[in-house]
Formats: sequence, structure tokens, C-alpha cells
Amino acid sequence: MRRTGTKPRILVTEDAALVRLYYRQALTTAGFAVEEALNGVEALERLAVSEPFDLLILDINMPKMDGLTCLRALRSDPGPTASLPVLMTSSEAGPEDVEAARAAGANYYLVKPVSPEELCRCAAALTGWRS
Amino acid sequence: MRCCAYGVAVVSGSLLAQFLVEARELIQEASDDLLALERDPEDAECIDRAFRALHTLKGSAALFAFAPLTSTLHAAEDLLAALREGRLGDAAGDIADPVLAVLDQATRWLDAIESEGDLPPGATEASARLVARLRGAAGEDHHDATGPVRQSASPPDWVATLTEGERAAIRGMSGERSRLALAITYDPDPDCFFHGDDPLGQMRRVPGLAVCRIKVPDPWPPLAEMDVFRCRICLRAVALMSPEEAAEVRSRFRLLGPQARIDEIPADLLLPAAPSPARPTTTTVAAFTRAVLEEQRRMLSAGGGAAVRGQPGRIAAAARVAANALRFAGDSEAAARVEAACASDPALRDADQVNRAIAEALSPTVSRIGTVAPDPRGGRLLRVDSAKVDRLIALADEMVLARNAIQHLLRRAEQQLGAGQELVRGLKDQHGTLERLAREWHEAAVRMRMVPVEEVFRRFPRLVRELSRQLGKQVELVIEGERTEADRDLVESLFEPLLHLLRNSLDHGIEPPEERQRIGKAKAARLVLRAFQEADRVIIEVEDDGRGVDARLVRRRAVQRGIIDAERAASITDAEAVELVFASGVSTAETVSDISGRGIGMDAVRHAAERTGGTVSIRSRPREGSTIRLSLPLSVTLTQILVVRVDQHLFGLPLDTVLESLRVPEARIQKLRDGAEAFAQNDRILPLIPLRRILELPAADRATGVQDRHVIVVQADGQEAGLEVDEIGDRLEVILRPLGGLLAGMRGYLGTTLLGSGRATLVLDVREVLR
Repeated sequence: MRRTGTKPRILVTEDAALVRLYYRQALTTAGFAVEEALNGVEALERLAVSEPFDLLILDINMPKMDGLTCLRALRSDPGPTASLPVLMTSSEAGPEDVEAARAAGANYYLVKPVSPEELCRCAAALTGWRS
Repeated sequence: MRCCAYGVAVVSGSLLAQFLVEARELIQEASDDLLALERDPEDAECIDRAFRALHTLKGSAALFAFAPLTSTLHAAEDLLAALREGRLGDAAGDIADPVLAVLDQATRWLDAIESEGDLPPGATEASARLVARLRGAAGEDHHDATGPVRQSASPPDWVATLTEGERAAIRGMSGERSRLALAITYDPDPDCFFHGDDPLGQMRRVPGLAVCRIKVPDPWPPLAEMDVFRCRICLRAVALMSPEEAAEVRSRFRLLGPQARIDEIPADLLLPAAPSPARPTTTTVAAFTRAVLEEQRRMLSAGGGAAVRGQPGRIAAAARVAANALRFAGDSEAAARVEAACASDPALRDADQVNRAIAEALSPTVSRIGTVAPDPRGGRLLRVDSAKVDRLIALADEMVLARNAIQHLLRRAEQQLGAGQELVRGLKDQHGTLERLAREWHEAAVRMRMVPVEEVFRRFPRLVRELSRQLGKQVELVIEGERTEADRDLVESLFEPLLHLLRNSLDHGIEPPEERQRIGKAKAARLVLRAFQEADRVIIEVEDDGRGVDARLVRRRAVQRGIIDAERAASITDAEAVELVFASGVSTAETVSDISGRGIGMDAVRHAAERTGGTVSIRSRPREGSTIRLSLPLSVTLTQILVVRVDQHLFGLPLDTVLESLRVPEARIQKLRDGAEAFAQNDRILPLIPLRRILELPAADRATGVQDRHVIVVQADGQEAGLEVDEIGDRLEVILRPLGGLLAGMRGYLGTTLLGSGRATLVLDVREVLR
């Protein structure tokens, strides 16, 4: 459970700079604390060393390590980060893509482009944040 | 015009509202740091903080595509970035003014956005002027200053909203390596036709146009209000061209100033396909929560269940998200049940168990959740509409009335059953509890309205700085006790009177630096703005070490204005004479200045203080300075009164002493031996007290015995009585002010209040009346 009274911390993992900026703007405007990683490897590193996050936003297509591989590794972690809520984003909207994300352990799936409201509402629901 | 609603700017009203709140805070932070920077230009942390505040501000502004606001902030941010990186050299000392000017303009624009929904006309020109000034401060050449906002690190936000069709069109045209993709953002000024601009022609001349969006205002104004000479469109385009063509296009658009902006788009940005798939539009929180819960169940059964690698992690994640979603929807009980279904030991986790718990949460969810607004913002402070808090206070007052009624019933029960009866004792206990709860509720609700005076104090450093510069005075403003709390309305109402007081001190009290030096004072005057709590009052003081108020001058003015006569002027003490500055029309300024000194300032301060039930006083020490003190109630609490009339006089009775109002027929009134009267009501005999007699008004000349008498049954200190009046009027909520001046210390009255008609009315102290 999240510490009450603090901003939920979100790790945005996304290789496109503009999309990162866009997510950051939408989420910080809505009151979330946002950190960024550029690919799956960086995300796992950040999760291992930073203080706990409340949500991981994970793109599927990324260099070095894609989102699905990253998510499978995360869910197999013996520690508490295995249960981290994960919001998967992708420009692929086919049923097999969504099913693959579910099998890897994604809690929710949004197809890009994502509107700020949709992103923020999703982040609020997945982190259980209410004002 | 709402034509700028592009791309990321598909933003909800609530995000805009949050932006306005956040932006004002950031502006304040940046101003504070810039002012601090003036005192210590080397303070790297200040520079850093100011830069960050501006950077964040610009970032959030960009989400809304208020182009002039964003480009102005951007230029200010650039200037601070240059300062931070030590690129400004000698110019470093001159950055505060242009940046503060930007913050002022931004504040005005935010106000316009809040009230009008958009920037005011002329914002583009204002932005161009400010940007030029900032560039000047940065030492950049003038030619550049009129150019479009130079290319920033990131392309404009609308690029992210290009549809797949548009992206494909761009990709199709970018066959050759050497071609650049330019994003053109062009918001023509509404008056551009008068400047000879031709926005559409301008766009047509761009080579290699792949995408061109023309956005018109939404909603389109009514035909009758249309001004065909105003340009109402916004243009967004992507064009592919050679570097030589790009240079030509850039120089052409540079002539348009801040109306246009050209950015190069990195090729990879256009590559990822961005289809707009049909997705379920989940509109309500309930529906969205259901979607999230159902997704967790699907995730649990995806990919072959237990055999999947990382299954314990997936089960825990599903339970955690389901619980979070339920909390988001306001159902924390169901959230706790889902969490309980997930074992903490990974080896014992059972997908079916969690799945069932989520299914159970889903069934009652429809009816239980869905009333909570999906606003994810909040943090530690809850923003509540003050009307809701006022409603709580009003309810607490209603509760006091209900308590009075119960007290009345309790007394009857005592009389009929005897005070020792268990039922009566029980009633009495509960009545006591109710009384305490009603009081505590009222206090808690009143406390919810309290805010620190800092909210208004923090606006003064800027103003004092500017005023003192204008007046050529040197001042150090000291703020004390800014955490002192008072009612929000009260704090907000402080701004104007305090501004008057500070202006007065700066203008009249504080001597010019040369004069101060000559008389052995520090060159910079000390101006203190201080708040503290004293019993149930908030005291605000404005103190300066200037020349003080000249009592002789005030006497002379007061006599000139006919406020007192010469004889009285001679007999009053200096301290009394100085207090006359609060009388209307007395100003001690030798000359009338722009800043203050038309003799209305102090008068206005007194009125403002009295409106909230406060008082104002002054202490002046000749040649040493003066202190003006506002003493204000902690909270503006409203008292409910019942208005009654005796002859032509109106009086208020506090409603919490009123049990009922009656018309008593003459026949029910019994004459007692000493001329007193009494009447029977609910098996009790109550004394009938004519208010007329208590107030020593002449006896009525109306014929008695013809009409029913108007009687109000009141109670105080366990006594009950009927008060006879001529007429019973309205119930009102009023601000009760303690008696002052000649009336101070007079018994029988709680205070005075102003009725809606502006008529001053005395409110009776029923306790004293019954004595």
C-alpha cells in the first residue's frame, strides 16, 4: 500500500522524448511525481535502486529491452516490486498484442496516442489515488 | 478565441483549473526568489529555484497552447538559464526587472484565462514586446528579438497528435535523405489583416507542404457578432524541403514575429504509427473502475494460469491494482477484502481466490461507487469550496436551535415527572452531550475556514519594492508572524487596507534617504508588517521608523475640515489628535502624490476594519516613527437574530435565546398585584415583560385589550419569560459588533449590527433583560 499523503510516484519508461515529455506534463500537472527511464534495462535498474514506485508506465517497443521482456522479469522478481502496478502503452491495438501484455502481467493497456485525461485517470485508478 | 485547442491541449476544465492554481504559486515562488536574488546576486540556489519555477510554469502552460503566454515564459526561462550558466556576464544584475515584468503580465493573463477562458486581445503584441525586452537583457541582437521564438529542444506538442494518415503522408514525401521536416505553428493575430498579412497565402507559398490543418474557433461565434475583418484561424503544418528552402521559409516567417514558430521535427518522431483505435469510452468512475477490475481478472487467467513464469507476482499485482481501483472509487472496504484474499507468502498465493474476491467486489460496485469525481489531484491539502464549509457552519447553528427546543422539552419533563426521574436524568445527559457536540462542530467548521495571513502578506514585498523605487526611498520590509491564522474572508479583505497603510508609510512616514542620513537615521528605513494573535483577536501592525505623524498638522486639518472645532482641538492630547487621521478628509501629506495622499486612505482603512468587526488605532512617536494597529476578530462569525419592533425602534434578539414567538389573547393575560403581568403557556405561568418598559420608552397610546399581544418566549440562565413587543420581524444572520465609543460598557446590549437597510440596530442581551 502507498504511503498516504504523498504524491504517487510513477516511472515512465518510453524511448520517444516527446512522448516522455507529454506524459510527464500530463501526470505532473495532475499531481503525480514522475521519473523517467528510456528502456527496459534502465527501468529495472531504477526500480532496483530508487525508493518504491506506485506505478510503472511501460512502452512495448523500445531499444535494448522491450516492455514485455522487462515486465516478465519484473513479475518474476522475488521481492516486493513483483506486485508493482503496470500500465502498458503501445501503438499496437491488435487482440494478440493485448493478450501478450496480459500474459506478461500488465494490469492495464492503453493504445497510443493517449489523451491526458485518460492517462491521468488510469494512473489515479491504478495507484488508488483519491483527493 | 478558442481556436488553440490542439493536440495535448485537449485538456479538461479541471486540468486548466489546476494549472491556474499551480501557475499562480509558481509565479509567486519565482518572484520571491528574484527579489531574494536582488539582495544576494550570487545566490546560486535562488537562481536555480527561480529557473525551475519558470521552467515548470512554461511546461504546464505549453499543455494548453496559450501561445503568447508560453513563448513569453519560454524567453524568460532562457534568460534565467543563461544566468544560471554564467553566460550573462555584466548583464546579470539587470535581469530581475524584465523577468518580474513577465510574471506580472503572466498573472494578468492567468486572470483573463480564468474569467474569459482565453488570453485577451493584444496578447501577441504584448508577448513580442516582453520577449524583445528579455532578449535585450540577455544582450542578444535586436534582429533576433523580432524573430519567431527560436527553435526549442522539443517540437511543439501538437506534433504528437498527427494521425497515422498524416504521418504516412509525411513519410511518403520524405524519400530523400536531405529533406528536412519542418513543423509550422502559426497563430495569426486577430488584427493581422490590417497589418497586410495573408495567412493562407503565406502557407500556400511553403514548399513541400505535407500536412496543413486549419483550425477554426469552437464554437463559431453567432453570425451577428462576426467581424469578418478579424482573423480567427490557427494553422498547423508539416512541410518537407531542402535546407536552402528551409532557410528561406524561416526568414519569411520571422517577419511575423511571435505569431509563428518553426521547428524541425526529428525523423524518428514521425515513424511510430499512431492509430486511433476504437476504444471503449468509459465515462464514469464506476464504469472505469469496473473496466480496471475486469482487466485484472483477465490478466489472472491469461497465458495458462499457474504455469506462467512470475505467476505469484502477477497475482499480487492484480490484487494490488484491484484494491487501488476500488479505493479510487471510494470503496475502501471492498479494497481491504481484495487485499486480504492475496496471501503475503508468494508460495501460497491463489489466483482463483483473488479472482473470486475481485468478482465479489464487482457485483455491488455498481451501486456503491461512482459518486466520486475522478480528479486525481489532492495531496495533503483538500481544496473545498468555501460554500460547503459555510453550509456546515449553518448546520451547526441549526443544531443550536434544535438543542434549545430540546432544553425546553427537558424543562417540561422535569416539571411533569420530577427532576429525579431516570428518564429526565437521561435526557439531561444527552442534552449536555448534544450541546457540547454542537459547539465543537461549530468550532471545527469555523477552523476549516482559517488560513495563514501569509496568503496576503506575501504579495507585499514586490509592491513595497516598486513603490519605494518610485518614491526614491530606501526600505527594508520585515514580515513577522505570517503564519498567524484568521478567517479566509478576513485575510482576503486585508489586502486593500494594508496596501493603503504601507503606501502611507512609504509616502508620508518614511523620509528620503538623504534626510534620514542628515538626522542620523539609517539610510534604509525599516518597515515592519506584523501579525499575531491576542486572545480572540488577530492583530496586524504596520510599523515604520519614519517621521511619525505631526499632531499639530492633524489638528489644523481637522479644524479646517470642520471635524472638530478649534477649542476642542486645543484641549485634546497629541495621541487623541493623531487618531483623527482616521476621520474622513484628513490627510497629512503636504503634497498630493500618485501613490497616496488624497486623504481617503486612512478613512478607507477604518471602514474596512469596521466592516469585519474590527478596530484601528495609531501610535505615533514624533521623529521616531508610527505604528498602526488593526485589531480584527479571528473569524467573521455570524449571529442569528430575530428582529423586533417597539415604537419606531428595531432591536435584535439573539436567536439562540428564543424559544417561540406567540400571539397571546388578552384573556390569557393575568394581572398581578404590583401591576406586573403573566400568562399561561403549556401549563406554565410565564412573566410577561413589556420590552417597552425595560427600555424605558414612553407607554403606548394604543387601546389595550383590542388586539392580541405579540410575545416572544425567551430563556437565559434557566429562566424563561415572555417579552412583549409591538411587532415580530425577520430572522437574520448578522455580524455582531461589540459596543464602542460612548456605548462601551453599557449593560443590556450584546452589541450593534447593521441591518440590510444600512440601519444600525442594537442587539439585546437577554440575560441582562431577564435579571
